[in-house]
Amino acid sequence: MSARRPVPGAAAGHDHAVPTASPGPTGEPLPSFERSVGRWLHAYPRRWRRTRAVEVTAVLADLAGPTARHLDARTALGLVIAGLVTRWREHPPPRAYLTYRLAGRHPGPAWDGWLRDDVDGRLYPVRLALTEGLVAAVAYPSVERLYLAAGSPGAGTTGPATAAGRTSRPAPAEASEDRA
Amino acid sequence: MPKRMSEQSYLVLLALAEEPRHGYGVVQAVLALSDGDVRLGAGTLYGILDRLVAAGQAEASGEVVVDGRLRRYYRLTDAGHEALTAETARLRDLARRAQRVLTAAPRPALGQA
Repeated sequence: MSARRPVPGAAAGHDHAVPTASPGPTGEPLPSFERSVGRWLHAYPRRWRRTRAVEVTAVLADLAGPTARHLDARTALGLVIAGLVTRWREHPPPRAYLTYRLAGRHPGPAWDGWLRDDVDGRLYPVRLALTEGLVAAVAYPSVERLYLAAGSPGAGTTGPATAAGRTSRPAPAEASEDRA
Repeated sequence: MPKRMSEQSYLVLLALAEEPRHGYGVVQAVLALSDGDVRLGAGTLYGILDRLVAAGQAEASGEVVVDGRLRRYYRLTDAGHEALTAETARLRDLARRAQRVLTAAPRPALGQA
């Protein structure tokens, strides 16, 4: 976030109050600083991190100074907010999202990157289980009721058939790999 | 008409108009251009840069490794340059109209503390 006044000196007496045109402090940032930055950058989407994390870490190291051991609270908050805004911007709109989540329909080429991160994500099995569970909880009793009312003996086979229809997931276009 | 350009976006475009810069360079340039008034945080900076690149007003122009640190440079595109000059003209006209209003308005009585 931006301040409307010059920021007082950061860690260990490094003075940022005077605007300078020189490049940032040189030398490697401390490993604890890089770890701290890596943790906060998780607010950004995975594909964003893959392409920009190194560059952003370098800028943060320049801004913080060579002796910073971890990211300060104000910068971290700014990063988290910006990361969440980036996630929001690259999230498909509600209808495309729902048709994808519940009916497996591809949300559209614009959301390819988001789709890839969703499918590759660590929590993807959880998301799948939740939506399958939701659909099963809602649909199964209704379908079963219909079959029982119609007197059909095959009521028990609708469950696996519905699950099988949902196991094929849309694959994002290969071109999304190269998109920055 | 697209959304009105924010002051921070305007300053970033101006910083890039001087010469291609990397992230830290943009922060320093914005600080100087705003006379010490606007200090961009990394989150805000990258939000603005991402928006400018998505709108085609800026683009990445090369990477250099300096002292083990990666620096990605950004530069203005032609579209960005046009947007910048248009916004500068708009601000200049606004300032001129404001100056006319202020000089024409009856001045309040002096000596009132």
